[in-house]
Amino acid sequence: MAYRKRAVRIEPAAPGNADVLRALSSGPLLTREELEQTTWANHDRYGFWGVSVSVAIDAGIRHQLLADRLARFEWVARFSAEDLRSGGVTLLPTGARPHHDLVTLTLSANPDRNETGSGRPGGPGPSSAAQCA
Amino acid sequence: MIHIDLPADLSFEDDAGQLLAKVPPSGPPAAGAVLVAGTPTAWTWAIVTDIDDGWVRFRQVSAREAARHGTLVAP
Repeated sequence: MAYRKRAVRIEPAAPGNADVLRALSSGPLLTREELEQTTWANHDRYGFWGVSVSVAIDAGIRHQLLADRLARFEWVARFSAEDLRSGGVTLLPTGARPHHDLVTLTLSANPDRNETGSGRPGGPGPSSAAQCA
Repeated sequence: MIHIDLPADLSFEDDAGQLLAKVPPSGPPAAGAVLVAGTPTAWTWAIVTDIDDGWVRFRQVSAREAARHGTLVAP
């Protein structure tokens, strides 16, 4: 599979109090199924496991996102950058601002997936740690 | 329940900020097509910008704009 190179912006890391926002696709909870689907899509296109989010580094950007791009969604998950980092997640500034990818340097621990290498039904499983083009 | 033409994560976008989804099993839509993208709980009217090697690039539009480009009634 030919992966596309993902643009990574060179910019200061988002401050710890930045809001990390993601429109939820399946209701009020960020479900495992939703995370799996979106990380697989990101992997299939860009070759690394990532979850698309928008990062608001100040109230103005947050207001703009909620009034525009995220306005039509019933549910939006909100995290702080600091909380995500303390959980071992990296915020990678990818694509067009304020888009970021949430990435981890190792795959989540799922013994069945790692042993069988078949994370997706009918497809090959993840075989390496997250990487960025 | 609403019929989804193009299953998509409406947060997933390319480097230009355009929304992306894999070509659905039903086949690729035509460029310029008006469709419903997303999931049954988070969907949007959309217009297909182009098809790129198994991926659909599209933009989110209002119902008003969608109606200017095609019918909003399923055949």
